[in-house]
Amino acid sequence: MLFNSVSFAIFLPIVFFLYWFIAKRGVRLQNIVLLISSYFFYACWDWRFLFLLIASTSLDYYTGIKIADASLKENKKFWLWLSITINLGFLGIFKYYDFFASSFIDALSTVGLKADLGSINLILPVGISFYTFHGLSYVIDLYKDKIKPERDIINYSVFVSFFPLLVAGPIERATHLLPQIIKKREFDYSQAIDGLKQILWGLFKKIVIADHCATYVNLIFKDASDYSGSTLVLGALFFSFQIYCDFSGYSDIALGTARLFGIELLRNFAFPYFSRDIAEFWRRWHISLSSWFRDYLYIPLGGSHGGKWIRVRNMFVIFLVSGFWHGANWTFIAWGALHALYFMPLLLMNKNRNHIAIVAKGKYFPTLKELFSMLFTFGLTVFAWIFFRAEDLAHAIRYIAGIFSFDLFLQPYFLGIKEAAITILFIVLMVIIEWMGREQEYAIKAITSRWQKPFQWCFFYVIVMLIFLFGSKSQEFIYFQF
Amino acid sequence: MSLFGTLCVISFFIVLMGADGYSDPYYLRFTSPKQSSFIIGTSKAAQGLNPSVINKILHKNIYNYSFDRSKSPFGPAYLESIKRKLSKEKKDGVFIVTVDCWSIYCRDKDPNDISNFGENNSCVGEMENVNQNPNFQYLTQYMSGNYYRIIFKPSTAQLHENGWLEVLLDMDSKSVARRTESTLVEYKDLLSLSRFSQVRLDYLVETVDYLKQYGHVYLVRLPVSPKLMEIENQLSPNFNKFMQLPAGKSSGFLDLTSKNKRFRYTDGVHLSKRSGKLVSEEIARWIKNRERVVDTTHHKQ
Repeated sequence: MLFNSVSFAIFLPIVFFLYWFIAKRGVRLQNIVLLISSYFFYACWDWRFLFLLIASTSLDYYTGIKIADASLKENKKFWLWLSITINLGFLGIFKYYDFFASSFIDALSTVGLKADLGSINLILPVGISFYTFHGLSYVIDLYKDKIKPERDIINYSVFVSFFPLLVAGPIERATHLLPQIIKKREFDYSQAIDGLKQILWGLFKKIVIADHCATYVNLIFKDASDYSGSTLVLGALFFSFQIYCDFSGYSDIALGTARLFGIELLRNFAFPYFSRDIAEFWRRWHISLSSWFRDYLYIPLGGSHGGKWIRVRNMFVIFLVSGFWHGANWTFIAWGALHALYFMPLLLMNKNRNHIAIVAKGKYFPTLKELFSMLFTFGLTVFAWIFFRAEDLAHAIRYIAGIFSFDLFLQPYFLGIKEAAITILFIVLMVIIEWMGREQEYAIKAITSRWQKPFQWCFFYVIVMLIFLFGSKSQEFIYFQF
Repeated sequence: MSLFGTLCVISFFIVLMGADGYSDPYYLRFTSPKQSSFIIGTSKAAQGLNPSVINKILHKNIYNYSFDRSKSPFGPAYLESIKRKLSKEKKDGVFIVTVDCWSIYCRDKDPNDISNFGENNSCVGEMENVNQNPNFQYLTQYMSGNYYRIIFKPSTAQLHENGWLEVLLDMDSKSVARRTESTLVEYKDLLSLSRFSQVRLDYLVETVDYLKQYGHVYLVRLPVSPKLMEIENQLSPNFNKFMQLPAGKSSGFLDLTSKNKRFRYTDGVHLSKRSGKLVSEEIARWIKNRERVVDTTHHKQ
């Protein structure tokens, strides 16, 4: 069941009604409604994987209690590693087995040896990377005594399976979400309206921009050798906006939906394309994953303590693992490595925390220096996205070689370029609105609330009509495959 | 909030009601009333055969109820859809059934497993009401592309009231060559995947049998570019032999592939507008002659 589908448009009001009207008497009923709807939501993808989700939830629930109850450090450690091993084992088998097997066979063949490990061609259970990380953060935090164990299985299951975040995040922390789940939620009209606004903006980004960009991206990336360098640049730019609008659109819908149920999720995007350097980009892109890696991998590895080269090593580890988290393909690892290379000079010169505040805060326009920095950073990310989108490394290299050809300065051309002009227009509109709303949690939050009511409604009406007019058959979100 | 929701819903319906022949290549076929004479087949017939040209010569009211290779190969789905579209009041209809190997071949694992036929899940297979104007079921479930096409009316194709799909493409040699090249690649891929389906051929025969109850049925094999002809010959060297049974049940079989070189194609498969007109005229004159022959035979009897 996709967020941008008719079935979700039917499902959501039903759950909303049951939650606020039937189950309003107590937190337990509210959580039971959420759990049943979340399992139903997940089963709509593939009911067989529901058992995997329940198994993963039960494992972390049980080991969590064991960790908390164990008096000896060794016992705590045992239960922690048991949970980590099984969780990563699930992830490894479903997501990475075929990749490791084929890479191993390729490596052997380079030295003239042959092996046949076979491939198991398992279907990747949707959301496995996300809910595995939820569970891991819970047991690790328990082990570090940051939180107390949740002894109510319903509450804990809602924490892992809450449907807005189940399939593509944000990757929640027990410290943030569990306290909200334990407490009874009271209906707050302004919070619900806020949620609806955020959903609307997310749908606009996904349906009006990302899905249309996808059409052109697929066309250009599929037959890259047929297109001029300028068209390939346009293809890479389209992909940059596709992935941003797809994933941040998804996150907006997830956060907005959670608000309808009185729950605040972690923010996942903070206008990353307005970043002035790569370090700032990573503080604004997929924030819940970046901070997860920071807290559970980078800091345990030593973080920014230790010598310069230790820091560089840790930083490379984080980016490579982050790339690999996205999928079992060398292209993702190359994408991670490229970002590590971008990041390295900032780290070595201690400039990785230069841009903490929002760019041009309180002003309409950035300075020339800020504009140049943003464009340069954006250019770097666009280049890296080529690796992320390519089928394999050879494809990425062919694509890049195609860009740097003599026809780089020709007018871009591909079938449907006239229709693409409308998409470009919407991208420009989206960038302007996001720029105007960059100091807020999501772009249209403050813009609309500052306006008079009739203008607000007109704005929403235009957005709704654009979604309706430019929406085609619902397409899956890119991050579902991770 | 509820007022806003109502306003949005009303706006959606107002937009949908503006759908026409520019909005979608099939929509009007599901909004027109029941018809008593048809052209049936795939996109070759949809784009190539212009009913107004044929109607002028035959003094009939023929309607083009052809779709494309994926939606209207011969089979139970298409036959049922034809039955829904057919007006059963008259018995003097003219039915031009265009045939080619792609509509009796299948890409499925088992080419004779009806339950797996791709068209079952298309508008042709699923639309219960094919004569409703406006047809919201079609617009909400099957319309290709986005609804903005209803407002902005892109000028690449227009489905006329008589079912003819007029495709407006550049016909300069470079554009034609580029389209032909990509179409041939597509058909070469299809060649390796397609297998003969006895069930589809049986359904062609059943379609002819069914339509015969309501008038004369004429089988026509439309011309294609020589390059595509080579592919078709590779796929089905005995195609005309397959046609012997349905042709025997019909009022005549016209094979125009011997004249392939005389016509122009937009992409190697579909006739250009001008060639489509010539082919439509040729078919209409042939039918007129056949009608005379059939009538004379009837009188003699």
